[in-house]
Amino acid sequence: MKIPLQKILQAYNESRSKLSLQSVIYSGTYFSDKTGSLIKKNVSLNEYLICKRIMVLSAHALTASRQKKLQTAELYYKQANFEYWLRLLGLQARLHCVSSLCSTKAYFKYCENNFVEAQQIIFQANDADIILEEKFGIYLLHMHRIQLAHNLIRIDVKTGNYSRALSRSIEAIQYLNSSVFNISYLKGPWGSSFLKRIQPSLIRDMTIQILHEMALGNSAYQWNDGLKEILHGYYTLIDTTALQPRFLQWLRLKINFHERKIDIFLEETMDFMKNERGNTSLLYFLLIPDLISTLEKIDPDTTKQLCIKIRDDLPMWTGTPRFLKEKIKKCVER
Amino acid sequence: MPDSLFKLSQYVVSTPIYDERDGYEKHIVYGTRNGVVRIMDPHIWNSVNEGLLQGIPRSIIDDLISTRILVPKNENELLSILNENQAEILDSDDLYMVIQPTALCQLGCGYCGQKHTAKNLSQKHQDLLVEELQKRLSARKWKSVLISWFGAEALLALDDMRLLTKRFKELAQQFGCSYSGRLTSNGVLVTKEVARELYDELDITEVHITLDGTKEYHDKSRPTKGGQGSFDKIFNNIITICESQDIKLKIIIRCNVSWENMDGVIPLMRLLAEHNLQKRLGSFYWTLVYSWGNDADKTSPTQAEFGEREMEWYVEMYKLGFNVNVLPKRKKVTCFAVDPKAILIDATGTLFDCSEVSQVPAYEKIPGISQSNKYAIGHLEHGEIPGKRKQNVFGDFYSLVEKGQVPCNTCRMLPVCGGACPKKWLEGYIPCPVTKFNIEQKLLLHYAISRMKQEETVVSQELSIHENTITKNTASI
Repeated sequence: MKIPLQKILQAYNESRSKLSLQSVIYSGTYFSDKTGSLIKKNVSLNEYLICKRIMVLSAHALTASRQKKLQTAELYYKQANFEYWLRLLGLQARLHCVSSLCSTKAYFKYCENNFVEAQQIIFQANDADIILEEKFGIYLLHMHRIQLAHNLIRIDVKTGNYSRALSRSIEAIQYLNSSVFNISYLKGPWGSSFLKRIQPSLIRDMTIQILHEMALGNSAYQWNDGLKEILHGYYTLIDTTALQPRFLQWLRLKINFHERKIDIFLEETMDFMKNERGNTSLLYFLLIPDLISTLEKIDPDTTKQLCIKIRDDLPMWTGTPRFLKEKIKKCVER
Repeated sequence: MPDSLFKLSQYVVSTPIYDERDGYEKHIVYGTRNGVVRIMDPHIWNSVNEGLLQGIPRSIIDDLISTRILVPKNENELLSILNENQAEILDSDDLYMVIQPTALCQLGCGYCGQKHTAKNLSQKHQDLLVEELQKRLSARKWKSVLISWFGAEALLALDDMRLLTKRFKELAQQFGCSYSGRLTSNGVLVTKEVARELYDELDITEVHITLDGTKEYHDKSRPTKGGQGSFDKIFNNIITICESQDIKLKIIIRCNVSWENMDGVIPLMRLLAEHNLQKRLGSFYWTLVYSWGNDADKTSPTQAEFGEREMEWYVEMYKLGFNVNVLPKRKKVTCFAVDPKAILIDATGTLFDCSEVSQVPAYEKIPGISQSNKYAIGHLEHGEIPGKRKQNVFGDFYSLVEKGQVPCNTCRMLPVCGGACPKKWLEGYIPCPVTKFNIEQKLLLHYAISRMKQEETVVSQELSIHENTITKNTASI
């Protein structure tokens, strides 16, 4: 054992203040909130009232779905009563409602494990976004469509279709970094001329988000040969100049952990922790269970000290997905 | 002529106010569907009230739609509210059980409807209770187990609480649920050591203790069975716990108020403040003494009469530095009686779906026999009696509201009170909360407190100014 374990404890202490409490998330109603303000001037008062109400109920339904309150979510969709209001809406207002409602409803269906319908609804949202983007010039929705592509990847991970998740996520990342000019599994238009209209910071943040989700998808499931293939696949297939260095580093850590290269794993974890700057905190949190399970076999006393610190910090990590928080909690309370 | 398809919600309370500091009139608007408060200038309020929405800024429209102060004209709001309540119950993944581990209590409170006996939950029934919990945990996925320890006086069976908690926690862990407890106690046995154990070992996060005013009032309404006072012991326990920085147990103090101790509420608040408990307590609240299968309510003022007095108490609370929340929030679940998954087990193993009926001789066909209680829904030994919950009607309460069989169907306070108490409606009482009778005054007080806080700190998140930009004085709150 080459690494003094006190140094790992020190690395944690130094890094914990840099952890960001909220992950970068461009999902939920971010895009419909932003684009909703654009329709204010273009629609009548009644259209606006109807759209606003549908968007509000859509947002409530999303919140309920995230809390696994599916009966409540379904009720909000019923209250939105889109089919009733449809006839009173002009094209632009109607499309905005479809985009907003479908985005959240796809997630609702995902929570219900109704993946076929979730996918269909994603395609409907994409169709609405395409017209809003091309005919009405709402360019921001290009990012929403990439978000929808990302949601298709989530469905692949959930249904165990890891190979397709791998290839689709690589394609999405490469598109965002202009290494490819098409996302083949979601209807276009795609191309660099569309991406040029988007703020670079938004593209960067979306890239990080997809990488985080890829990491989360790996960590939510038991280690198996399929996942091992995916990790190696990310590492070897992705153009390393396109991929975030932190994610590459994290991939190496995961591979070393699963291949039981303890010394390398611990050394690189320490380095990873020290270099945390707050925008890859989710990757950081994902390492905790692996780190603790490794350390406790070597030095239970130091591990205990680390666990106490993490246990005290855990309530503050509000951006962490619940399953991960529970997993970390179980590790540190053992 | 209204120009839109939307209208002011029927679940809105409003009152005008002349703001002396700002120098113009405003309208305080409380939307009970979301439990939110908004301040509007009269022009906007009048426009909203009359459905003339064309001239209202879109940002204000956004807010009014989000808060459901503006709703579609064709919406059946009552049905929406009741459906939301039902959905909340169906979605709940907290397994809630109320347990009375003993039928005994040291106190002889005048208004108590219970009959106390030296009966603890037997070993056999404890085993059945654990089996019952296991059965429920196996039936579906739960997020948490929440045990509410109730009396009589639960702490007289502390040993049983310890043994049961250990077994409950093991089960919760086995099924991947979190576990927590709460306790209702007269406070006599809640010493510092017990408080520490309740939190650290039994995972009880809060205890509700009753103090019916200062000593002179409390000892009259809540004496021991031997006729002695109980205030000193209880109050001393509370102080000792609150002074111990390492005890994390939350203490909530309740004051049951009738004509006899109404003058003791403010002295009690002042006494708590003298000991610097304003922020240390989880909360301090009061409620009317009500019928508990007896005539206890005859000693109480009406809600309207009570409403006048409690405004003085709120003002005093604020002056003394207590956290003051005068306005209720959206209440989707009236009480555990409307949740078909929740249950109460009394010290004889009898099952109930309401906490106000067990051990009450007035409800027992054979006095002293818990299973003869007309509200009993079963027993641990043979489970719930099919259809008994429906027969009790508590669980069907929202249907009664929808059908107009209780006046809640037309009441603007329904979203924030949930109907108050299904049992009392069915017994012919009017259990409306006092807030129904003094809501306008409460709105004014809420506004005043918010303005004073604003002067001290940051903008209150509850208040939003929808002021016409013509008004020169646009200081935001």
